[in-house]
Amino acid sequence: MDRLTMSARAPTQNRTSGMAEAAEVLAGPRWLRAAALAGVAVYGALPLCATALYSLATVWRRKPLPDSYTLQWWASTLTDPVFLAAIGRSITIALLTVVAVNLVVLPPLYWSHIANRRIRPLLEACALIPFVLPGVVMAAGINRFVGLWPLTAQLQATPTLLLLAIVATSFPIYLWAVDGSLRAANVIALWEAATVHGAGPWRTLRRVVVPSIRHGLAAGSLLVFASAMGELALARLITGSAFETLPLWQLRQLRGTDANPNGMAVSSLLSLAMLFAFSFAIVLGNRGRVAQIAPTAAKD
Amino acid sequence: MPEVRVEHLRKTFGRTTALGNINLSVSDGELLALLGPSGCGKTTLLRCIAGLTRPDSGSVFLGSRDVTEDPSRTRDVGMVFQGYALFPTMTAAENVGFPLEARRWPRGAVAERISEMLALVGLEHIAARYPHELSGGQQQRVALARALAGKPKVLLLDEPLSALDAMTRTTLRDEIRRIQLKVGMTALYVTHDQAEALAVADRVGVMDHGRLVEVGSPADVYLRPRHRFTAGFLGGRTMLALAVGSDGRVRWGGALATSVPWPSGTPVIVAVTPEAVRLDAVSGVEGRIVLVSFRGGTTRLQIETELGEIAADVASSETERYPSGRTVRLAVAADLVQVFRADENGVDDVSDAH
Repeated sequence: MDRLTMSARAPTQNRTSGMAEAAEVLAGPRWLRAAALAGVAVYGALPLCATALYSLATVWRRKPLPDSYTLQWWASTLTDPVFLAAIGRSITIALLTVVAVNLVVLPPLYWSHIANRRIRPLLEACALIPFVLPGVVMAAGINRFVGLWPLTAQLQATPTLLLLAIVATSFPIYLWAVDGSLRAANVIALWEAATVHGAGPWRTLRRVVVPSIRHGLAAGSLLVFASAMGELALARLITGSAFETLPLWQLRQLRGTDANPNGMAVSSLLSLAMLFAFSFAIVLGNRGRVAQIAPTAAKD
Repeated sequence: MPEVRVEHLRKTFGRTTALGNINLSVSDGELLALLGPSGCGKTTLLRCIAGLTRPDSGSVFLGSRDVTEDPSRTRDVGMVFQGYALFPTMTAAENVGFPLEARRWPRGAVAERISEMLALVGLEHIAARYPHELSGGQQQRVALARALAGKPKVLLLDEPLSALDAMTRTTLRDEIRRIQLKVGMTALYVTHDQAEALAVADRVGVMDHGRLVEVGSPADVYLRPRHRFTAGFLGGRTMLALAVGSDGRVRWGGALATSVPWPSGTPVIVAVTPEAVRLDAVSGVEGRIVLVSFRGGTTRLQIETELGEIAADVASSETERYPSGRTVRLAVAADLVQVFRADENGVDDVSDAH
């Protein structure tokens, strides 16, 4: 009787351990997985830690850690009126870009979903241009283009032109983020339900569509904000030192007679902290759900 | 005065004819079901009436008004969609109030109408919940309340129950009918489920390949189909290919003999309902039972004969007598079959059997 039970149990045991083994082979041994994860973490964290240390270092020479520490760079950078003006310009430009992109891109994108599919290829082609053309080329092109007519030539080297250029080059990420969430929200079905029950396109956008895709709008806006904050090539070639944005200021800290690389480290950490705070606010607003960027299959 | 009238409606998508010259009218307070297989054009017809799809030609009238060129939002219809299409960021009450808000009802009237509608569908207690907090059946009730809230001229239902489980489907089906009768609403109900169509409708319109094949009462289209397609689509009939004999009768061995007014040699299709097949007949044709499926009160047998498989129903109490594999002798009750000419595709080629 005992032997019978034993032999009946043995194959089951074999099978379970066999399956576990197969899983083990696929995923690699536990230590290897842990090591891989740690490697990725170090790869991501090391530059951040180094920047943080550098922003606190007095001198740092040929040693793993700085010679000694100081808050001097933080204090001097945060009180430097030139730096504050630069970061102020960047934030203003980035916020205006977010507003402009929302006003300019959302309506046609919505329209392409509910009414006219034919404008989609046009939107997508426009969205590809900033990706295939280097920033320097676009900046040069924009400068020459506005120089063609006396009226537009007045825009040359103005912050307004810089804003327009950044809007034109940073909207694709917004377009893709919001396009995905429009699809995921099944906007066509929502539009049909709204219009059959008496609502026009504008009321539907305001009351039904925008609330349904607010996570995508937030994610898209954040990406546009980050990209506008970091825009260097356009700022350098369109306005240059006449309108010094944060990246231009940072570039100046790396070379020249008044270079201040420690201040550059401080400013990098500041903009990173700002973006992190915004992302965190969005995640909180989503009640912990990660904002959806990629389109997902519509739920049936 | 018919509430909904459709005249010469045509719509093609590329090379597919979704609607080929549809004429239809639904009278005041009537529920008409549009029944047909998927792709027959029934949803396209509904969407043309709703204004969501633009017909290539033809007219749509709601009451006395020609709305063919009107946008959907001014047509004054209520619609229940297949996937509910509730607004996910609004509560049940806000969803029901949406059509009223969109049509600028005064605030007090909106609140009153919302509670009236939620009471009608029995959902007062979940007014403050969001769609994702509701079951499928509750969501569909909210959708029905929303469709009726604005007091539309006509209620359009597009496969309203297809996403629900069988139990909820039956309950909700009967409830939709009760509410429609209570409100006295003119309604069009699109479905591919014949049981659903026959149960809720005053009249059933059978559609196939963009044509409205026939319209009649549920009993008419089920028991006395006038078109071969209807006969094949409803009632689980077996279609037998036979020919008119020299004596002007259609015969199937000793199992069936029925007179038709057509010349000898005319190919015909005989539509046989499962109830018309008698087993263990004295004279008849032989067949072998190949499949037995229990259906509640009756059990359906698939019997292999010289003409192919034929479906027959027996009372479930007699199932033991008909095990799979048994050979039976079967006959067909001539007064329960329809005979159609097989060489013409017309609608009126049916012969009353006798």
